[in-house]
Amino acid sequence: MKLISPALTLLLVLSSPATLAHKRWLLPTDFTLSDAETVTVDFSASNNIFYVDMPMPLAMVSVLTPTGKNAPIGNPQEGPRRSSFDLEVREPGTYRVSASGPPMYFVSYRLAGQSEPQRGRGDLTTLKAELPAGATEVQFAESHGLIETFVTLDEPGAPAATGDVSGLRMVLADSHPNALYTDEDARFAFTLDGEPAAQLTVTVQSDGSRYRDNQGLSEYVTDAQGVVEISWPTAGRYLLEAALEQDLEGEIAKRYYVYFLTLDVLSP
Amino acid sequence: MMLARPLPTFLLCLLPLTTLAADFTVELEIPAMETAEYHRPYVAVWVEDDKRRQVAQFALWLEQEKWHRDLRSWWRRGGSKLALPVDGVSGATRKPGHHTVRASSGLPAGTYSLNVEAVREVGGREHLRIPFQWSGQALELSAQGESELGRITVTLVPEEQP
Repeated sequence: MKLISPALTLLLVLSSPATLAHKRWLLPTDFTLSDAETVTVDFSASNNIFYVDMPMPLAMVSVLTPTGKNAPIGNPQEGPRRSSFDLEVREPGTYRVSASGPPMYFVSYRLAGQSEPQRGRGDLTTLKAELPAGATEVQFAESHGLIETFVTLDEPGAPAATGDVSGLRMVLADSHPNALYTDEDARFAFTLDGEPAAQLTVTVQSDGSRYRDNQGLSEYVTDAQGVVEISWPTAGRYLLEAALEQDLEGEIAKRYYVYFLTLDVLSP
Repeated sequence: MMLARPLPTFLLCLLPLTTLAADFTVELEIPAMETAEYHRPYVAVWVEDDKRRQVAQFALWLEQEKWHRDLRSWWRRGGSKLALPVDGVSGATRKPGHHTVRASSGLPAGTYSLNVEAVREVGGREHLRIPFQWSGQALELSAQGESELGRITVTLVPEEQP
């Protein structure tokens, strides 16, 4: 057996691909409406919440109206710091705004004469094709991500289902994502491939991380039913992140799932 | 120029204050963090006078320029007008552990503070400010960080006169 020094093990853990990704989020100007209006949605990746830093591709975005129709994306813009689009909210009920894409793949391997592991990311076919001859300890990892937010006109309702249950998702439990108040704990359920995601780590971060000296994260773990109960210390916007890492046998050694949900919490 | 008479008192006030050179040794700890995503902190070590103006830069451990401003006390007190790199001062970020910074600075007697600020991507920020009176006498100072910094000790000794 080959011995790996603790420092190297630590390095491998710290530099796993999922941990190097920025947070990604969809931020609508409004989460709840009492009249039909246009809502502008920012789509960005950043480490500060909610501070636009890097644009995300609008091709990932789809919007479902409360009755399950695809809503058009108006005035799409992909700028240097953010992407944004307009959404005409006309139907009463809850719109589902989602962004996802095909899985991203990562590779790590060693090359003779290089002390540090080599890394790459992209689609699996390209990564395999570009793997240098003589690469050893080749490990592939697969990463799935879903980014969501919800916008409601009038009474909150069940958002239309996408028909896709794959990966990590939030499903309605006792709380509606557009009816959150600081005097009420929220209960959300999470599923992995349609089954309850038990023992899942869910972190919640409030807006304005640039303006404090800590990240302000609250961490929760789902119960056997995949449910977490979240309390809100202050009113404002929050980014919820659920993440999961699986060790696999075979060519792909790790699979990562991440789910981001932007929420708005009001004072009672 | 030869002075025929002693300087009038009001002109004496305009003479520069005598600077007393000090050798600083700052020992600081960057704590190891148990976190999924770790980036080494950006760190600044500097001296401020009693008007909170930066009078000496001792260490700047930085990476991407776009985040230099996140050392926000350092940036506010003079970092924003400093041209980088500074020889012997600015350099790459450091690993968690104990680090020693040695520097010399000529300071007129007076009230100062030694400042250490650390900010970490997807982490926190901490700024420790250690006030001291400099009169040319040796000093030992310390402070304890709570999040992004560990223990900091500072020794000042008057520089040997040639």
